[in-house]
Amino acid sequence: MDLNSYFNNKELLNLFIKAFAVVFSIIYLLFSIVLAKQADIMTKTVDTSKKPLIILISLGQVGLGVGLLIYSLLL
Amino acid sequence: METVEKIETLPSSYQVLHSFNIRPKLRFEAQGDNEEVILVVRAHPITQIPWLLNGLIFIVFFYYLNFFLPSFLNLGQIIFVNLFALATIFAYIWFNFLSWYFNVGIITNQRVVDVDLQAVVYREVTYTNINKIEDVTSKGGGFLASMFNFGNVFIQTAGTEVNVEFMNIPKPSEVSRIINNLIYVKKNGS
Repeated sequence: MDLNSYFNNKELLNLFIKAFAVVFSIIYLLFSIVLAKQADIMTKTVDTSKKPLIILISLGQVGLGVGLLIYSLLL
Repeated sequence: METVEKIETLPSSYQVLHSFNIRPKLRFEAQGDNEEVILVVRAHPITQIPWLLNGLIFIVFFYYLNFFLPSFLNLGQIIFVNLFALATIFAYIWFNFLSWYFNVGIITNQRVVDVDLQAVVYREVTYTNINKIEDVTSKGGGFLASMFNFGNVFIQTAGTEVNVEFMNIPKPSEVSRIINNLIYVKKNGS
């Protein structure tokens, strides 16, 4: 198989973009999981009335990370 | 001592955008059964302006970046870049908000608690008994600090105990006055 014809410039660029998108989405997802976990620990250390909201936003961020990862895989 | 009685009867209030809270609805880990939270302090909101401004600058930057993206990316990729940029800006703002929200100083009728959350992953909680406190110093200086009445409170403890610092908190002199009153009550019993 001729790699030059298979990977023309446009396809190579798309492959790089997809690879970067997947890698950055994974990093974002890991970061949001760490942040959510730490927020959960901190709400136990300092228990305020805003605890449910903080947990909800942190979990929403994890959901956003999962969404980004799925979207990047479909690019 | 009249001021001590006043502190004990102060009504619950949330001041300076929740950075100076008297008798808030808050509990902390290792809080004793008879321990009552009197004051909770955070950094003054004005000291959080830099990261809020940075977030705004990032949004403006990514908005203008959209004018150049169509020349070398397809629609799906442009949508991903925008979503990722917005998610990153949100993460940056949320990260800084959590750092501010959980960096608290808690003053109870028995202890002073300093909760530090650095870079979100590093956590330090310092407990100091009121009767171990030797000296309380409030410091404030500079244009913004004078204008918005915020500064630092340094709590020095006896011997090799850890010293406690509350940085950039609102009304530092009032905080030191409250702690001094609590020390007086603890030592004199009235």
